[in-house]
Amino acid sequence: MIRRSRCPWRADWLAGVALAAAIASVSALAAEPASVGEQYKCPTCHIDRLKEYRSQQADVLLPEEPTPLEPTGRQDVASTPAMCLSCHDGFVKDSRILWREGHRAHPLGIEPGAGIAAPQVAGEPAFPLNQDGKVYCGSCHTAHAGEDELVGAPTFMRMDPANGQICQGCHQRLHTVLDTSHDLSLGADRAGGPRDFQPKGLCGTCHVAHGARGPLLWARTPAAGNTAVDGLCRTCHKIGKAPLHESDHPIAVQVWSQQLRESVRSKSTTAMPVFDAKGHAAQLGAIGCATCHEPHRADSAADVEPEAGSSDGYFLRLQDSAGFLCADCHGPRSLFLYKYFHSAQTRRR
Amino acid sequence: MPRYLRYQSLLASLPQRVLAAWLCALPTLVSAAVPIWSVHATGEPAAAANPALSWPADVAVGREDRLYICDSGNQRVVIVAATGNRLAIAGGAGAGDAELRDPVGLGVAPDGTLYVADRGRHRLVAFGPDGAFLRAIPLEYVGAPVSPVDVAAATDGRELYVTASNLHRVLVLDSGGRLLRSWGGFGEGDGQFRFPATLAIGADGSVYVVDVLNTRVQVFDRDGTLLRKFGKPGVLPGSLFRPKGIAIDRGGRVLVSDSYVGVVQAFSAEGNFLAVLGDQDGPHRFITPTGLALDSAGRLVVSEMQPGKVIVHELGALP
Repeated sequence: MIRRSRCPWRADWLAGVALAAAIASVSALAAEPASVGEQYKCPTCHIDRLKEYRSQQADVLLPEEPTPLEPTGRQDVASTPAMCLSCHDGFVKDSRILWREGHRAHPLGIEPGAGIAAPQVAGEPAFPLNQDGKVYCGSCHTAHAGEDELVGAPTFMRMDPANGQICQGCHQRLHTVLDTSHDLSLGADRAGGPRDFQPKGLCGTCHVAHGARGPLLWARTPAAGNTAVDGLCRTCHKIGKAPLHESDHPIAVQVWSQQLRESVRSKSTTAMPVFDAKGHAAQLGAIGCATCHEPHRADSAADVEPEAGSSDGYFLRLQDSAGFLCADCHGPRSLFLYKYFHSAQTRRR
Repeated sequence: MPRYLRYQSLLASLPQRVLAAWLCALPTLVSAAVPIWSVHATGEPAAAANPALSWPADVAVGREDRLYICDSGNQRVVIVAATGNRLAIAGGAGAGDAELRDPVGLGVAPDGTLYVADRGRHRLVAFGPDGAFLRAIPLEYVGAPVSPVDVAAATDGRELYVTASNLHRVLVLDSGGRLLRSWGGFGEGDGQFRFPATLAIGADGSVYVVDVLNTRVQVFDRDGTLLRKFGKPGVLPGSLFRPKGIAIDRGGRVLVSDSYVGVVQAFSAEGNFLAVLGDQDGPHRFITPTGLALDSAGRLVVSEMQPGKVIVHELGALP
């Protein structure tokens, strides 16, 4: 049994408290008793709001953890992984796949890179980081959010993912594909891609934050390609099926040119990367579709309806480079070489 | 002068700062000692498992004190002999009949058959005592797939009880997997559940169900009639915050693990709080304790999910 310390005046004090409690309970009889769920709604996660702490019980099994945990003020106990896991461990909901080694998901536990610009709302970060300044579950999710109608299940996103705001909130360098032919939320047939694409928002049709099937959080099983990145492109742009403009340019060759190396280093939006086997941009790697094309590089009007004879559109990384695209990698000499030695028309002669 | 008036006048004469200090000290004056059931770790039988355990969700003890560990992160069941030697592996990742996806709970039938709640594939999988695949039992309820969390066999082995977490029900199957009856439904009322998790069967055949988000244990007879319930939300001794595992000892005492608070508490068969497992320093701090099982010697096996450990504990005498 619970033993309590003796105190000479305690009996009187407790008698007074008991009387007050009795009066309160009689007044409360008229009210409908709150259900367990209602009583427990907030303390389900906000453990510091349990009545035991309010009444300063000294024999609690778990010491009160003040909110927030750290002076950073970025995180309270309710949003720690331990609290998430206390339900999402398979016994209530099953999110264990998100912790599984090798699972392809949005990276956690990393500090946002230089290219990430997380927005603020009313002076507070719209996508907060954990107390160590790293991405965690609570960066995108909050238990206070409602059901996501798009997904049809409670995903508790901080922002509606339908039009890519939640992705683009941080990934502002990835230009939107809204209203381009890569906007599959308008219908996959616009891109001539698989008809079984289920529109799941601007970004979600091609990318998923959890359970990705390919690099770059790809939502579908990638088709076979010369590089992992090609496989993503070829999911829709299949050989023999429109619209695949098969390039005569050699691909899947290892490239290590000074120009490419510099462009990769610069990480500029117009860099022309080569890729390693896993699809990551590398200094020594293979040319892939994405070396010249950037699927997020939107010039809406041009991408949909490129002008005849223009290299604008087609999601090319380097716009306005008609007649000069080769020189971007091969230098000015390539213009002469292509014209007289590599031109198909010249060869036919 | 009545005593309470004397205290009142005393309080009125105290400087405000002294009064504030006294009020702050009040909780310590009424502090309580938590009753402790002594426990100490005696071994980690699967420490040499290769690969190491990953998210061990549940444990079960079979015939000859054979220990079954649901190594859920590795999609398998590790079978360890009473001597601590690893005997076999059942399951594994994949889509084959004998393979598992995100399993949670284990149950051993009186004939030694091991049942696994294969949550990710909505079925039970039966293995022999040595891990040989026997059969898979797909689970459906009114056309809806069932996400089973735990399974327990009746004392006579004729029926299987399954917690259908997604449907908030307990399903009763015959040993062939045919649905016989069910009870429950989402809610907080008697006999309803908010995410039923683990199960235990009492010596009299009663069915103990851990009702996680209602923070209670409900006890039913084999037909689903509620016999009693115990537990309340909170972190006081006797309260439950995230109850997960359950085991019943020979004396009918009920042990319940709490995965967030990190303790195991004991209740009488009637549901009265008895003690918290611990030592002279207070409650023993488990890290995310979930599965509980007792062997024939009364030793308690606890799986701790986050550190990936399964530890056998010797229990002392109840206070």
